[in-house]
Amino acid sequence: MTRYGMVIDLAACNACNTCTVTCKVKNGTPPGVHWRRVLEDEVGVYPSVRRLFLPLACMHCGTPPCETTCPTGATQKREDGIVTIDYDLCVGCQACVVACPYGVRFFHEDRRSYFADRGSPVPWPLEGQALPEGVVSKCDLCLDRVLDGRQPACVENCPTSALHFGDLGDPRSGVCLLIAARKGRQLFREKGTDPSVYYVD
Amino acid sequence: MTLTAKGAGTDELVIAARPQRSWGLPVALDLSLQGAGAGLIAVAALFDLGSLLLGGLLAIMLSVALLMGHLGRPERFWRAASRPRTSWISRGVLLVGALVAVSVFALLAPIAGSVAAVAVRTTLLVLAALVMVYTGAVTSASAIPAWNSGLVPLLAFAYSLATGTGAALAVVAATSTGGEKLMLLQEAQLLLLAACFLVVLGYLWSLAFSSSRTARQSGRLLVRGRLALPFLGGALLLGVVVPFGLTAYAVALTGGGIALALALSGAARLAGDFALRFSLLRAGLYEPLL
Repeated sequence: MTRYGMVIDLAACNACNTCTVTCKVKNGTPPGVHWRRVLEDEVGVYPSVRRLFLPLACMHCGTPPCETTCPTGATQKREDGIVTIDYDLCVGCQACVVACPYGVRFFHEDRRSYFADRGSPVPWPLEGQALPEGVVSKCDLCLDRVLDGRQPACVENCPTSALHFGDLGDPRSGVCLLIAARKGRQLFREKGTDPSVYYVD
Repeated sequence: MTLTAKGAGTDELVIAARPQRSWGLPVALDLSLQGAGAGLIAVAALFDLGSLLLGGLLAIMLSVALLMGHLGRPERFWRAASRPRTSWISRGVLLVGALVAVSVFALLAPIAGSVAAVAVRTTLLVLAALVMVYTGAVTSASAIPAWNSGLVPLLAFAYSLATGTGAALAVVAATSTGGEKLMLLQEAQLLLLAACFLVVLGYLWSLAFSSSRTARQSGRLLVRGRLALPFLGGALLLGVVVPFGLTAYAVALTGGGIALALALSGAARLAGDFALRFSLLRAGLYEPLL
């Protein structure tokens, strides 16, 4: 059974944030809403300091806590594993935001724009659906592109090939082979959310 | 993956414990009023004080109005009742709806018959108790370690019932509607406040010795950090210690100062209840991702 997921190569990511910008360009998310972003941290003490980068987006969990917490059924897990939000059902209570341990859900409060006097947050026609106000939104793995047989925009545009997209349900797929070869790990595996995003060093 | 995370930070682009910002003042007010209203209805049902029903109902209606303000799409609020099997918010919508319906029924059509009256009062009591528990359980179902505790619903229940009892005491003393009931309510309130104190201590203990570093961090915020004033000063001192002293003072009094003491105690309870909800919401931290 198909289960779409992603493998992120932390060794290849250099935090260029192309994925962040690509996501914004493709989905037209307003200021403050980052469906995909790269978290940063520093560890160690000078002169032995290392910078850490963690590309982050919705984990499309196997057992998504956001889905069970949602009081309206707006958040749903598709048969192919992609977790989606039906904006027409969402009431904007933000229970899913509080339930998600990964911090990848965003409440779209008002119609903010990066550009003055524009209704759209971006100055070009959006590829997908415009984001309505008063609802929660998140990465949908570029569902429209995936249904067209394409890869998510962030994967396609990553200049270091740190992002890999594929079918976790097929043991011969590239993502499964990568997970097996490089011991892919899930974030917060102990919480039982069974994320569809794996990280490899 | 041998990465370690740094300490707390508030920036969304840093790997660290993040404060939750989704639920704040309106939700704290909503939960506080909802709990207080349910507490008042529970006391009205338990002590057969039908005149208090209206107060409880008004508090709950006000809380619902506040909740509407918090929702991003309030015009679809009715959809929030559609997933009671898994969602605490859905359960809350249904419970509050049922409590309001039965309360309105009890107000508009007071039943004289003993069996039917007991049935209505019992239904009110059960629904009110469930709503009080809900005001804590709704936060328990989250990714925030400090909220993932069975003590949070218990705390919400104890605080809600004590706030309802405090409001009932103020009304009963002001209207002089029952000497025996007043004494019973005062004694019940002293016990409830003592229970509140113990549950707060238990909750702080559970945070301090939690296996989650983030939960311990939330506990430090409540006791020594930026939330110490609303939590220790508001939820504990104003919400428990002051009402306890005023209620005990009212028990000792025989003259006309009782109504004033109990009115002040009721007001302190309301403020303390709100302070508890607010500080607990603000102390909510997500765990660092690495």
